[in-house]
Amino acid sequence: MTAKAVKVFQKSVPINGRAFLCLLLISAFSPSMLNAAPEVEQLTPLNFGAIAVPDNSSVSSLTFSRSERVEIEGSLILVSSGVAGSLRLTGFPANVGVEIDADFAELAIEGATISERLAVTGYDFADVRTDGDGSVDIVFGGTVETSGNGQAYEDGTYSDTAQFRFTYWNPGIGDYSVVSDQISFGATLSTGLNIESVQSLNFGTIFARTTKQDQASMTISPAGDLGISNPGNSRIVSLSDPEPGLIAVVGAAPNRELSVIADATDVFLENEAEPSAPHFVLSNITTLLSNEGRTDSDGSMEISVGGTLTTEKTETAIVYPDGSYEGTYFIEISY
Amino acid sequence: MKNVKMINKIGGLGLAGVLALGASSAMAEEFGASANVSSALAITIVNDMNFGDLFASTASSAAGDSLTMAPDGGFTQGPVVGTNIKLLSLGGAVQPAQGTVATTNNFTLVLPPHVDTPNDPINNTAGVTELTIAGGDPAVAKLLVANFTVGQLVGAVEESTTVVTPTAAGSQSTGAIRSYTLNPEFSATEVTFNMGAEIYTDDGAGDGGARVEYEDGTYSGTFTVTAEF
Repeated sequence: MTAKAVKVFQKSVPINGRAFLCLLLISAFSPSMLNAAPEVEQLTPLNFGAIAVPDNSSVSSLTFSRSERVEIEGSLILVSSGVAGSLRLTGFPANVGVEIDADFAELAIEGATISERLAVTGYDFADVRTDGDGSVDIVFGGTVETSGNGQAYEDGTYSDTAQFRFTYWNPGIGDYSVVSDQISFGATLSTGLNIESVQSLNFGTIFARTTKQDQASMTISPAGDLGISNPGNSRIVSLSDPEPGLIAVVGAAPNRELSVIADATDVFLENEAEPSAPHFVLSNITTLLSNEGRTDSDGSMEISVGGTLTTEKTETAIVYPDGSYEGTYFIEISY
Repeated sequence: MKNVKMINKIGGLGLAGVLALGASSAMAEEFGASANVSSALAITIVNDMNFGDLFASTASSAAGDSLTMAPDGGFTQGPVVGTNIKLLSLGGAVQPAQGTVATTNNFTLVLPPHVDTPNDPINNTAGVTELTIAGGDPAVAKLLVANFTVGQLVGAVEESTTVVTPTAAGSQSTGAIRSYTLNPEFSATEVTFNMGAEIYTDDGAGDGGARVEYEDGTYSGTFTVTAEF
């Protein structure tokens, strides 16, 4: 929070004996006119909050009212709410209305030379009138819009300043005066999801044997249920409890449905220490989403992952050599 | 909401977005999957097989006499080949072999190849274990052990027995495998089993009938049993 220097544009007032007397009389009722110049202090910068932009193919907007209500048009997602801006005017004439106009603002990511910008296209002010001391606190909101040009927004902190001008009737000079100040704004873009692997998909300790014609398979459901099929002489024997994979999404938009797409391709699990050993094939990767696929009120969601492990076909029956067989699969998660 | 008068500071939004790339929030994250293979299924030997004290008389080039020790340690006399009995149990420290396998899963005990008939000459045959006198004097007749069986199960039931029999009666089986698939009982974590076998007098055929006499002493040899899933 910064308090900035105020530019005061006042007409000069000729002071003679009569005017001086009047000024003294007026000052008895309104000391601020004599003792303080009008000042604008930014108490809290307007922050639109954390926003996700899953799609920038068309202009979307988020309006954050001065009462901190949020309205969204288009494909923006509010990840976490922001804070209304607040200003304090002091040293203004008592009981005068103040009209505010403001420049256009464009929020850009801090520290980046080129970034997509968020345009502040509107402000939300109540009618402003100074009190008997010539002061007033102003709470305001605003509207921010995406470019809608298809370019992706980089996650990060976006900020800008805009000049606000405060026009008021100055009875001391019998004319309007204007005070201006640079007001800062901010928003955080958080389109990317914070995803953590809590527990790897682990088929446990097994015995496995290939055959020429048959393939044994072992399936773990996302709930942890185990099923084994051993056609012919192919064999998988489970020697310890397997564990489904567990993935956590944290810090996402609350109460929001997420799209989760599991890898549809076969994944090889191989023994790096013995490359000539037969491999396993991981397929049919399935997921189970907590809270019916929606994030909770904290923006968190858990994804359980299961899959089917299948032995390879080999020309002669082979008992899989001891060791760890590993592979990786992809899961796509998005708003 | 009151929109106050706006003055566009820079005259419009930037022109960077000429190419619409279809920005998306989709994130494809990579996760690990693994399986740990452990193919070893160890047999712990509790007791070695001991036929106890035996009477064994002169061997010959013909088929030998035999005794069968059941997995419970009981003996059955085999048919007498010729006129005089050549092999007889005298008691002593008779003990079937005993082993354990620690597992909760079905597994198979694979025994040495099965020899079909006691009338066959069996020495030098796959699946026959030769018991030789201590010191290994090659002139002393051997005792021949074959046709192992499994029984006296504790912690498991026998699910199936597989015996590959010779294709023709009287022929020697060279690849006939006897295997027992055992199914551990509920909550059992270890399976105990006994093994018996048939023991024959030496027919001497492998050495031209040179080994015909037995001497008092301890005769020993080894055989291999494997456990696999």
